[in-house]
Amino acid sequence: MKKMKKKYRNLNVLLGLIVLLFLGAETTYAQYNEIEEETIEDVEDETVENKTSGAKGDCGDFYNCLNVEVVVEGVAYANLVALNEAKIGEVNKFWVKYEGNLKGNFEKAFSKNFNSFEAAKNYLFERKETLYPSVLENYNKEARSREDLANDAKSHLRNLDVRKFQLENGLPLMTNNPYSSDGLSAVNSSISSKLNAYNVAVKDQRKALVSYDYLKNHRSDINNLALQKQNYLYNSLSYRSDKLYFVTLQLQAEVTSFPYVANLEGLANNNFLTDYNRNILNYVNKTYSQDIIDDYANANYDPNIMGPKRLTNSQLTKIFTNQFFDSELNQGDLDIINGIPTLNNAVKSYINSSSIASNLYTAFSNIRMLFEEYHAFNNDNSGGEFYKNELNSGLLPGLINDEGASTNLVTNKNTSIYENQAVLEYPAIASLDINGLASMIQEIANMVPLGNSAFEGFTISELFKANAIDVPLGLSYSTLAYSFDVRTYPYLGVYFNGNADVSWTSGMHVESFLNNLAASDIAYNIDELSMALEDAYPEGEMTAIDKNWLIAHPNYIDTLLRFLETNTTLEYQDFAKYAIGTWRNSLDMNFEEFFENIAETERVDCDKGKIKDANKEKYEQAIRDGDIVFTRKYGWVDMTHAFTNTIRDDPYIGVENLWGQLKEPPSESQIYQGYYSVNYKQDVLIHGISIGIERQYLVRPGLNFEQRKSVALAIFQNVSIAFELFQSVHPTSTSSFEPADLPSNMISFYRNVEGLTEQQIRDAIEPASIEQSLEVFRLYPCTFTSDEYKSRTFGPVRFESPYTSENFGIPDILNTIEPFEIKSVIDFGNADLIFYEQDVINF
Amino acid sequence: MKHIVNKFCNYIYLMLLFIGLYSCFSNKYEFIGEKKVVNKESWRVKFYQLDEFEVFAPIRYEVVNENDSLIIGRHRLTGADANLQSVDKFYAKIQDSIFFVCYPYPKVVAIKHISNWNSSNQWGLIKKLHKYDTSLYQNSADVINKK
Repeated sequence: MKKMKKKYRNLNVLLGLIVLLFLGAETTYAQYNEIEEETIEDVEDETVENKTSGAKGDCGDFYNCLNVEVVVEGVAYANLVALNEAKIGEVNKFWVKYEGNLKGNFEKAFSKNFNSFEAAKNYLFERKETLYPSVLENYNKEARSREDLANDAKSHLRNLDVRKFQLENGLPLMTNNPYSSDGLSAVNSSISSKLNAYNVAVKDQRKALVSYDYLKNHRSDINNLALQKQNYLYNSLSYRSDKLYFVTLQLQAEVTSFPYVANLEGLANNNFLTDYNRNILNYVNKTYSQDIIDDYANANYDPNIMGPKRLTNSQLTKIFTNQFFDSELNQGDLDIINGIPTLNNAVKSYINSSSIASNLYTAFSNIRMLFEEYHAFNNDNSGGEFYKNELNSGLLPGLINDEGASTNLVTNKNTSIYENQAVLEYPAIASLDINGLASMIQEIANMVPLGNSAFEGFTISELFKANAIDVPLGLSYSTLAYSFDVRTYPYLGVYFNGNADVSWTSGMHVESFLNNLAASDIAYNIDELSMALEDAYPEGEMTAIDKNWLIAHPNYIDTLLRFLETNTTLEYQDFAKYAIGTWRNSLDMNFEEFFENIAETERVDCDKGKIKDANKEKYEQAIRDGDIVFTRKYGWVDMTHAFTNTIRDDPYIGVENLWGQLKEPPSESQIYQGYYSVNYKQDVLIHGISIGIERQYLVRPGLNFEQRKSVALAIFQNVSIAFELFQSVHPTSTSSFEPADLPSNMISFYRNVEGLTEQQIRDAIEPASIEQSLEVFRLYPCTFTSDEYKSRTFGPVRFESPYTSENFGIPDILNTIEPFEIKSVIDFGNADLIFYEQDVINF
Repeated sequence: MKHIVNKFCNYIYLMLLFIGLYSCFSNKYEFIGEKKVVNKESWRVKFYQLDEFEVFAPIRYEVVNENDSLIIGRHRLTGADANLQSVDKFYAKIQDSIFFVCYPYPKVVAIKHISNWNSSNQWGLIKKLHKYDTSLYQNSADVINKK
């Protein structure tokens, strides 16, 4: 049934399209919205349900007032920032590379040299105005998506500006205080290695600025470029522009999925933060402008330390005890709030500076270090002790021992937890999979007495919430938390498998899991993409390898969906599949090579450009697999034609059966009106219906053995030609009269009639190696598709190559039989061999 | 009269064919079914055939374990009547660490030692199998020079 369904899927597609005209788009968006709403509702419900009461109380003493939840979330926020910083660096590299490549690509596209990328773009835009005046009309057709893109970009850019604001205004806590480089060195000499890591983190921030600048300066160009290319597509313009459009969309996708910004939005919208952090975001978002940045920078400058001010102890106390929400926002509070983003940056940088930082558990350890050092700075032993006890007994028991925190983290790696922490080391976090995380949670869980529900359920749930791990459709946070408790459910995959058929394997990267795109969105999008690409994959859907890679890199899913938004022809699908393969094999898509491939393809201009990439690859693969072989003496041979015998139970199918009817003279009962009948057919059986050529011939009795061979050959050749002709009417087939077809049929004939062995045939035709065959094919890349090389004779087609023999031609052993002449029924009574009648379809 | 009717019918058939053919044949490899490997039933051999309008079409196979993870990626197997609807006539077995596929039994169309999956077919191994099953014989189609 499945097969049958597949067979008629194109018809279904046509019908489906008609239905979709009325229902499709609305249904899709309705479903999407439903998922969105449901997810948000779920999240909100669960958040309310799980929300803690906090721990404010009497705040006369700093440490007594410590709100662990706030600390956890603050650290988690910083942790998230740290992860995103790493991505910023990657995105920056990506952009730099693109810019360089795009100029070259434009030059290739227009066969011109440009002084700069800008000049190339200007040329492109001018070209648009003169050549394609209808472009403006089509602009309107794309108004919705353009508006969406613009809104996305606007929103992201605003947040990028916020980010810049934070970066440009320095890190107060990192200047001349215990958390600075000097301060850390004083705490422990081994910290020097961490300082190096800190320097790396600073460089990452510089890169982030470069990224920001790029985005700021190029965002309108990028948008414009994407739109121009979209309109080119609308006008069905050149193949090359399609690819350029694709590249542009990739850029666009990168811009609109800038990780840091998206996380900010995700955090703000999904209750991952308490009011504490959300208010920070609101404040920064609302008050941001260039003037305010400048004002802030001036106000925050401390001439005594020649740098940004650092927070006072009282400010720190207020921040960590959430007090500022309970009082009016006076200037003092504003100072505190102004300092909060930089405080978070400081925490983040501090975490980054640790050689084992940037994961949740290390973050806890580090925040504890921060407080211990803070305590040491204030010579307040009792307060430090309180915090240490609080953290050890209530939150992560056993994770930190009673020794000095920094040495603890560096030296005490002998427990399994620390081994696992080492796995999570930044930037190696990308190498951790779900198994690793589950294992780590198990280790921690083992340290807690069974039945400690606060740890098993709630705490883990909070940890994931605080780390912005999104929840798939229909899952609550607590269920999610339990899913990571290996005593209950070993892998998160259990849930994802039931959600939109997404195979979320154990190899899923934690980094991508920590990414902001909701899991339900990923599931939905990968499902959409798989359907859009069904024709490009042999099994009708993407391979598990491609799918899982894309799930781990969801931005690419978005890019591909956009690419396929306007066109899902096979060419587009093949190209998208190619792109996935390229990305997957090397995360940086090698566009140089990519465009070289396109250039190579364009040189192959078979039949006025009808050849597709897919055909070239298809034949190269067939050669690699040995389906098609170049032979020195006999040209191209299709091994399937030459060496396959039917196993169908049909007396008229196959050379064996043809020769079986002629091998022996006819019996008397077979002869009617001076002839006996011989049938032969070449067909394809589709659900019991034979479609092909079946012909009936009349043969005069009395022919000798050699003459009967000639009759057999005549019939075989006659039906073969008819079948190839029949094949040529097939609208999607290019394989009729391929140069390998009829010569290979002859091998099949002689193999059956003359009883030739494979070794005899091999010796006669001398197959070249696979590499040599590929070499010859590349010399004549249109070999199997161009009319130029189609062969309607049974002799081999000569292709000049270093491997073509001087003795090329029909080998003697394949040239021992002369075909009889076939007459029509008009010659009934006179001719020895008559073509009587033909059927095309047999039920 | 019969000729006229036949010809008329043929024209109708041809019209139907134009419609039908367009919806058929993806010109790609389509999954046709899978077989458990005898003596190693947690492994399955998946079979694919090129879906094209040809009398014979090539077959590919791959071997997967119980988790659907690839043991051996897609390889050429043999040619077969086009548009196979089932894999009933295929037979896959492991004997003495020799993996082989027959189509139809006892004609061996693929044979490899499991320690050497990536090599081309090792036809010499058939002799080792003959001590268990003398009917096995080599597929005659493997004349490719895979250097």
